[in-house]
Amino acid sequence: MTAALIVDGLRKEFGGGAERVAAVCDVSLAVQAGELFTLLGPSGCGKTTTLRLIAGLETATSGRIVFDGQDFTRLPPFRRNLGMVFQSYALYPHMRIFENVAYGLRARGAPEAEVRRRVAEVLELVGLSGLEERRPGQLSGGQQQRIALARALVYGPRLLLLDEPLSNLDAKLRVYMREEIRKIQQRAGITTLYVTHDQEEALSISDRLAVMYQGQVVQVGTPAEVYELPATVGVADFLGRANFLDARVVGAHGDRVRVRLPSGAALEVGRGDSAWQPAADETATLFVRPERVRLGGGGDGSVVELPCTVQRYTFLGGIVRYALDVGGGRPVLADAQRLLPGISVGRPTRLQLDLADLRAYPGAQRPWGETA
Amino acid sequence: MRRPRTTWWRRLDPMAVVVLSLAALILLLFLVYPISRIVLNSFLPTDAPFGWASLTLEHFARFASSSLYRKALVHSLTVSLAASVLALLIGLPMAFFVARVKMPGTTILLSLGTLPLVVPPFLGAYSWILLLGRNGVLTNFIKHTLGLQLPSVYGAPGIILAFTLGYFPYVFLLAYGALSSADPSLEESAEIMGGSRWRITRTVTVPLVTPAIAAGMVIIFMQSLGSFGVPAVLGGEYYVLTTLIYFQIVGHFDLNAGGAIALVSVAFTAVSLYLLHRLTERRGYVTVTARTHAARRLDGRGIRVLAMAYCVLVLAVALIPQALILMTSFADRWGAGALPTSFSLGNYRRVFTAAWGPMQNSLFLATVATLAAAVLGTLMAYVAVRKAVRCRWVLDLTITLPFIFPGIAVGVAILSGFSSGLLILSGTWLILAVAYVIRRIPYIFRSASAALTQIDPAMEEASATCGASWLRTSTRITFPLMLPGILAGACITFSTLLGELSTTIILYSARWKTMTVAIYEYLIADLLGPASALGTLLTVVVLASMLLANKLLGRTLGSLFRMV
Repeated sequence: MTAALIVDGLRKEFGGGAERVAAVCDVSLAVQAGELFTLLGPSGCGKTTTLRLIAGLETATSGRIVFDGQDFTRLPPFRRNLGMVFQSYALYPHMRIFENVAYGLRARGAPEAEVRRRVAEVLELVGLSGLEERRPGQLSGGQQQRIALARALVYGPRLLLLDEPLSNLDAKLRVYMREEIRKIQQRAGITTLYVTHDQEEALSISDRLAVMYQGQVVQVGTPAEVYELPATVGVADFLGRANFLDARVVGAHGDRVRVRLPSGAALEVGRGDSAWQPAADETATLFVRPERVRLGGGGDGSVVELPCTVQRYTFLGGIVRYALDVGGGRPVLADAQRLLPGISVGRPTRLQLDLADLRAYPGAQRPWGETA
Repeated sequence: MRRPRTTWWRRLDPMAVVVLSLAALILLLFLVYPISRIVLNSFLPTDAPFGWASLTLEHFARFASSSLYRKALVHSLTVSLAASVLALLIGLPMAFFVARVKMPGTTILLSLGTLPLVVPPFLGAYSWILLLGRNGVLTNFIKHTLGLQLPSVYGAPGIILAFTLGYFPYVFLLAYGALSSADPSLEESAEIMGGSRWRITRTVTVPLVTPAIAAGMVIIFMQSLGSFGVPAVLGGEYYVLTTLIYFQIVGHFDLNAGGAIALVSVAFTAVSLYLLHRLTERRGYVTVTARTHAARRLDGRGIRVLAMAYCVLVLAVALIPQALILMTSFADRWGAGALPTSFSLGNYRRVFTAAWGPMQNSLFLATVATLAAAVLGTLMAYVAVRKAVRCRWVLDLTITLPFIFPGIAVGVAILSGFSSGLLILSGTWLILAVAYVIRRIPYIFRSASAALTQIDPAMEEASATCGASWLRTSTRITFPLMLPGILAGACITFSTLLGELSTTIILYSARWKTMTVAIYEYLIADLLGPASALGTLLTVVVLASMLLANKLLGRTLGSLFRMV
């Protein structure tokens, strides 16, 4: 497959003079045709600005946007033939649902018979036939969301942009709607760029995603790649729960790093950052997901065991999250599927780490929220 | 997350550039140019052509040398200040009662409380002469029953009375708005923290309504300073700045001297607006949060009776002029007694033949000017709110200028600008229409920009991504969404233009006489019946258009004025 949307060295600065801030710095992306590609990141990371640049609602300071071989960079939004769903839906309160959905077709001067046919089709696609005569205010949040989607799809755009489309819905509906959006996107077979700050949403809906931070793309990959093999400590922390252990480099061979924990235990783990050339005695950070930390003893050779004390535990329904003191530093979190018998607060026990689940990163990196 | 909005369409769509530069050009020609002329002219000797060498301060020096000038200035400040203070004393308790005491008919009280603003004040002024004049109904009554001679209503007492009762609704409505929209939890939390009622009133409630009260008082001060009709009817030999301007221009044909006086008057309004700005800026805590619950209302029997009695009394006194005009309009003959002896439609028959022209003129001028102001004001609001231009302050200033300039000063400015030079408009309907538009653009501008700020920019962005050009977006999305706000502003504009006298009196010509001028002439000629009939007709049209605005917006009459 070839890349449908190519973003090359995109940069956007706001303000002038001393107040100038770069919201997007040198973002490059290649989105495949028919792919659902997500821009994920904390608020203020530049993901929405990137989307608005692609939509043409903002003008890039430098860089290029090319879609299907056509240079978008200087094209006004109404010439880009794309569909966009806004966070607020932006349905027109002074128009009926039919007119709302028909808006893009009429702007293109489509004949009235075709308008009627296409609107009916797209309303069926989003499962809302029969609401043509209603006003936006008479629909529920989820229905409004789907009408916004229908309005963006009705004229058959080649690119669909979704800007935090689910953030105004309640938790249950959000899960349902993201599956709906995925289904509709698949059925329409349209190249889609999706912006969200919700990692769960991003992981569940995307073919691939780009994690952004401070105006830059930190990592691009499939959901599994980004979750399992985060490129930085920041990405690791942003996509779900993460444990970070301080360590010191002993040596390196190939893409493996040998490190020593403060407790004295030495282990050989994978390198999280492929560009990193570890040097002996350098500080390093080890990362492991809480669900990969096991409590209790007994295991084979690929497992490292550390003595620890249970500080406290939190019952979360589906899982129980134990906070373990491993002798200084921040507690290590371990997710168990149920309350473990024989393990109680204040009692010494052992934790087990599978070496394949550990990654090493250079320096004493800290999650994004803590470095800022 | 806050993102600065860029202006992609303005840089890309030539249509937008054309529309907006046209608006700018019109403003430059009809606002900036005449105001520059009036400023320059006031530094020129009477009837002198322009020249840097001939610049002089002689017109301003007259404030030192001429006792007429000095007195007019002192008089203007006296009556305007007195009216603002008295309006506060009358309006604030009423606002408190209506907002915070449980009583029936608050909606009616609010509507009736707006009525004095709807009726041109000079119309009411004359009815005070009917009541309190040398041969007035009340004067005679008191003289015969109590043997007391009332002081003359001409001069300061009458003017202050008419201003106070005509303008007190500004304090009433603004203070009521602040009292009823302030978050009650502010006061409730003070109460929970153990504040006594007096302490809470002093430290929370009063500071909350102070900006609104100050704004109301400044508006009254400015309106009084700029009013021509009331001092013209009630002043007699008691000159104020506006009547002095009229005297200089119409009596002596001295446009330059008139301009200088107008500038002095503008200086005072500018200072009062600046003080207001400083006050409200320092107290930048106007609460516009969503209210969760209504403030508790006092419902003690004593306070309820007191509140009701007070409101009814104030409204009764304030509406006496309107009632009297209505009665006079139907009066056929006045005997020696207090009431007319017979009623007929004679006055109406008379004005429909004699003042048919002015009626048509008024309706025509108000309609044309409202339409033009609506178009221009909407465009300017669009530019200002969507931040299309870097130099927004230019726009702010252009909008504020006609607001600072009292009506008569706008009249003088337009006359200086277009009675000589390249574009001569004096004697045509255009000169009146231009002045009306310039004076009322701020009304539309305010309500249209308020409407536009409510519109999510994503509405327009969605339209653009759907493939609509700037023109389509603005005509199909932005404009329809702004329409209720624009219409409300247009209704207020239309009705206040019908009652406009201060600007008209400087600019009208024999062919383009308006209803208000006709009423003024009737009053001067002591023809009360026709004046009242014409006044009643004017009031009815004005009321109808206000009610229409209400219907369009689903808001009360009072809130329309609060917006302006």
